[in-house]
Amino acid sequence: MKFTTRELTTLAVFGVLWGIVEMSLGTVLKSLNIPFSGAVLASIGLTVAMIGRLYVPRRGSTLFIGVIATILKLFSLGGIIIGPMVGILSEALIAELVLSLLGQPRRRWFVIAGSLGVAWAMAQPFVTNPLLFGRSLVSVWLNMLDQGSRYLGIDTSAAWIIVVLMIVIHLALGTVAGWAAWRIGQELQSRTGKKPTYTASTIEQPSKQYEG
Amino acid sequence: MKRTTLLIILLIVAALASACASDTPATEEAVSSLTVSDADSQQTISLDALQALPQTTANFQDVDYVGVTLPTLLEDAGISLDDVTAIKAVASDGYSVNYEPALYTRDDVILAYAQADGPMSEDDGTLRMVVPGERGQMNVRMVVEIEVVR
Repeated sequence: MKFTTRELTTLAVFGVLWGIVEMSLGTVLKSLNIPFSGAVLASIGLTVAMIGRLYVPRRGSTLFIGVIATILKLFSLGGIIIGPMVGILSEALIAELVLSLLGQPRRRWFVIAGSLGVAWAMAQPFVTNPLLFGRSLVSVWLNMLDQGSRYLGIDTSAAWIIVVLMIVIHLALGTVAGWAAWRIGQELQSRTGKKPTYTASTIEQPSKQYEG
Repeated sequence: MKRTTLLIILLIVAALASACASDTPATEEAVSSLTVSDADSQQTISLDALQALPQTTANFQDVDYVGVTLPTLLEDAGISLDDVTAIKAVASDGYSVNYEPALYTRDDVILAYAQADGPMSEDDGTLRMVVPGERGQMNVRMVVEIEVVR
């Protein structure tokens, strides 16, 4: 699908926003060893990307925003970090797939896209570490348990409790991201005088929303 | 009402994040010993004893480090390396990394106690892992414990 120049510009703005968040806040969160920094970053990034989706509600727009953010991440402090770059792209791809496959945008699809996108931050090491860095799945699993144990204050012997809690936290952050993207996006469009792309009534009665 | 909801959600997220935050700040305090633990045993190895073991050098980010390989350390501590799933290096701030056999058996993967041209830097702490060619996060600084995971 071809985008107009105006749409591309809009997407680029949102992509740059996501990229800046990754470059600035990402570096700070990692440096300070903030718990679940990957999930927090993913949720903020996906919020930005999905707000962009509301502005350009066309197939491929979320992925395009992710591509721009990934390219910007190249210029991150500390040099090229392949893991986060793959992360940004994957999160954008997941959100794109959900929003494209589920049809007309609705708040619940945004919530699902956000949840799955942020949940990827937890699953990603199991894919990228073996493939990109030659790590074994066992060591990835052990590192994840240790990290969860440290963050949650639960002994690693309670492995499944740690995993379930981590999944819940990731999904919750993603839910907030999806919900916030929808809400903020609508609010922004309204305040900037742009006709909201989708509203509840659009979905219920699409033919009557903007009549007259 | 919706703003209030958003505020409440943000506060809950902030509270969760702060609750999860480590209360142990990353400090570079000097340690004089290393804890080596297995599933059912734990022992303390002094820095002097560590330095008496056969030395190996390894390079990370253009710095040459001096230390001991993990198999050398564990064999000296009388810990069998049979059926080991991973060896975990634990830092003083709780950060840890598990090294799989393919890593910890490498000749150039060491627990370093000095730089080749002098003592460890303050950032490194007394002991640090040196894993050449790996990302920084694999090179744990301020190591206080080596744990065998079976």
